[in-house]
Amino acid sequence: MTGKPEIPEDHIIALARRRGLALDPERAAALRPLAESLLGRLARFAEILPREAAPPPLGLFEDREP
Amino acid sequence: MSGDELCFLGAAELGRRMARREVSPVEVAAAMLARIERLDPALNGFLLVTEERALAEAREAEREIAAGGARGPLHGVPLALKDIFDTAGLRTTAGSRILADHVPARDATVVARLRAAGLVLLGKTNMHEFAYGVTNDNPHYGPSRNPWDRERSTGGSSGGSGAALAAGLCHVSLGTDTGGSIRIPAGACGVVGLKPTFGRVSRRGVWPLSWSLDTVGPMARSVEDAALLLNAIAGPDPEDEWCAARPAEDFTRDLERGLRGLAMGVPREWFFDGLDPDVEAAVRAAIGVLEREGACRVAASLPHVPEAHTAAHAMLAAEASAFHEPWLRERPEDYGADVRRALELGHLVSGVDYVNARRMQSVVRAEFLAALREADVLVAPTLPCAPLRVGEAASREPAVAWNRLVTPLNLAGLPAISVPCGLDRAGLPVGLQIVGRPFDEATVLRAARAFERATDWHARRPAL
Repeated sequence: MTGKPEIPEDHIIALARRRGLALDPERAAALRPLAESLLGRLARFAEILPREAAPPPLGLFEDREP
Repeated sequence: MSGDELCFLGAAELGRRMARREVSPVEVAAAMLARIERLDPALNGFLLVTEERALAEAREAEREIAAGGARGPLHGVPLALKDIFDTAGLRTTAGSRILADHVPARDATVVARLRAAGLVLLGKTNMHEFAYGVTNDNPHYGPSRNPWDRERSTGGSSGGSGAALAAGLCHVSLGTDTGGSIRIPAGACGVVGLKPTFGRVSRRGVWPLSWSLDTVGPMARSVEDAALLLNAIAGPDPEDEWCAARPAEDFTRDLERGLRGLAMGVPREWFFDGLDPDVEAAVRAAIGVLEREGACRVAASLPHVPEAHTAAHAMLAAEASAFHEPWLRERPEDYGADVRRALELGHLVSGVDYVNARRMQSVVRAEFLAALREADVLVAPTLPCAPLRVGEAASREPAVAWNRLVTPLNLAGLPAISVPCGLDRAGLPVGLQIVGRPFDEATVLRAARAFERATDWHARRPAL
């Protein structure tokens, strides 16, 4: 996937509601371009990330200098 | 020495003169307060000026120094704190309406350490609301304005501190940096700002934006002053489990070592794409200066760094939204429009998105660490173009975002400093970013100091 996904406003409203946030259509419309951009870019990560990549440990560097 | 000259004297030099009793902390504090009263109404760098308290602290410093000598190199030196640090008995708003009446009972760990070092608190500085933005266009308290051009942004989120330093309204300041919030205003205002290694400095008592990315660091007008401030705040904190157990160091130890033998990596990808021509010219000239000072140039490859901005944005958005969720539900109208929208966006980031962003953090960090096996430091511009106009939105699109050159270092957790390296054709500051290995702030400061010694950009002042 390379282009930005289209995310309908009612989908944004439903998604936000499932996560406990009430959005009216006006707010969903304002959010839509930001959501399409960020979620579109994040969707590419599944293709880009090496399968073996894991999240880093909590302390990032403690006792693990390069 | 005139009052204005005292206001621009370096913190290290001021501390030395105070320790020798050549300069009075009370005289300096009074001069700073007078200058704040005269100049800050046009800059809006301060949200709170603690005049009586500053004079009382200065009197106490003067008495102590006379009685038994200085506690340390910054005893009696005036300080301004970003209004994100809890200060016992002093209003701490985090630039928000939500915390407009918040008066903490305790100092943040770093504030307590600065008090112990004897610094004199002048006040709390303006910031982007809850540190969630890079312009400092604060809807509740007004925007801070850049002393180099008041129609321009200071950058943010530690923008009040950048303005105060550039205008000679404080000698040192403390900021926070989650996606560039120390280095952006440092670059935009022509001062020095250091984001330490993730975990180097305690965050207890600091209002969080993103637990996985937040850092606390010094802002100053010189590299030595930044190093001294880091000396005062760094080190383990049993009350902050994210804070590394490493003992404190003397970060001034290598400042005058010079650059002979230092390998300087210049990234191939991302950091030099799409720059304003004046920024590119200034930064390439700065790299030339570092080479002439003895640094050896090597290429650095960071192929996944274009994804760093997206990964950091997703982590920050999700974590900030988790922290703010109760307020966002109960009083959403109390947020500014941009921060409210950003907090709503964070609710749309899924668990899979968040974990993939953290996985990308590992990939990007590994690439930086590989580059830093060949190079002692990496160099890059701080900002891709001149400071934005006040009210001009900073894009969140990575390719053109104003913070796109600084955020990757938050994701990687590495120490990075911004030092002034030029002025563009409109006379606005340009910043050079120097990045180091984990917990090797000493080498970052050494390289920055060598550049500072070879140039006079740090000594330029805005016409006020």
